[in-house]
Amino acid sequence: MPLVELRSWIRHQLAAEGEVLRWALTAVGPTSDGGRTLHVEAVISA
Amino acid sequence: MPTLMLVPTGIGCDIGGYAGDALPSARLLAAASGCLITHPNVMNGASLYWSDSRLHYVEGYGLDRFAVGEWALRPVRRQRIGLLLDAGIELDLAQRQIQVAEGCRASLGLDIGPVISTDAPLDVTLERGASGASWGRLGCPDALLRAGERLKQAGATAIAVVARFPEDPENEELAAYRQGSGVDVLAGAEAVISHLLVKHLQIPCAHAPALDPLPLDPQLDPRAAGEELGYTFLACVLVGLSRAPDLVIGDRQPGDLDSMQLGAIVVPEGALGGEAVLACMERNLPVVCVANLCLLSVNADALGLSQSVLHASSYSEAAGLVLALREGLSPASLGRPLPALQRLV
Repeated sequence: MPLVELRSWIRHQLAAEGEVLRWALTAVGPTSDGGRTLHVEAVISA
Repeated sequence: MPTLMLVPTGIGCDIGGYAGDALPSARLLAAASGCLITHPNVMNGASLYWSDSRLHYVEGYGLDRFAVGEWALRPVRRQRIGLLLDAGIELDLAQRQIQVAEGCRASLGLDIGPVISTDAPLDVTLERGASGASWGRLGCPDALLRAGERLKQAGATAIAVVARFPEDPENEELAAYRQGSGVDVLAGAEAVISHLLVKHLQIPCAHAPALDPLPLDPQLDPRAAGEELGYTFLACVLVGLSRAPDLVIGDRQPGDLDSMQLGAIVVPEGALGGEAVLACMERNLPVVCVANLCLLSVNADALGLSQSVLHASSYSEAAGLVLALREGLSPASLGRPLPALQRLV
């Protein structure tokens, strides 16, 4: 995924959880197939 | 050259992870850029603060909306600051907060009022994420929003909120923080409170926790000392808000600051995963990554960007890079060997 699309992609994923108050990408790790795993922490208002 | 400086809250930054200890760096970057937009975590040193017309104090939620281009900032001469107190604060501790507000009116000339208490205790709890970053939970967010609405209706143009925070003087994390090696466990919950208010009201807001004074610690780290000079953490918030820019959602006016005017963003090198930073990267804004150890390792390498960011080993080097950008100098021309010219074939 190009970097220019990363933010909107993360926001789209989080939108399914509720109203997003605060979020950040907190880690980027490798996967066995050469890809990357993203760790995101977010605060969602219920 | 408008420049954004971020030191994300609650991730244990070596510089800026304590009590306003990134303020010297912010002052330097403000001088280098002529216009620095930053957030309360950088500016708030409890009893310690600094006011500079080149520094724009913008709460994190508003800062993110600014960075993505949704909101603009409108500099003002002053704000009228409503004081919002958590009903969970004991009477004596609440009186201390009000006395700080009175002192800031009398001695600093700030426009403060009215004061309101929430109609129910906010019931703040502290949490830590998988990364170790601090965050928190509000048991009664509606009470916060109701009180904020009443202040805004009563004429407040900015809101300082003080919530009762849980405390445990024997806590090991607190001891580590006071001795300069831990994460500010309060900071994440503070961000939740101020984000919620700014999102709801679209006016400048910032938070100070209400806590009992701690017993004297002879090993206190200088970076945490600002929080142990008085009975409250409120003075810096009132000073910061007193000239915080308005948050503009509708039509822009001449003089408004817009994210398209930004010339650079300065951020700890391991904290590139926030919304504001990613939004700036989308627009190819120069990103100055500063060596400033924190819990996170979302750096340029992790994002595959090592060639397209500017690296600084300190905030003084970052200030030099910002000044170079402001003067239209290529940062590459300031080092040796000079990179070879790229030839297109």
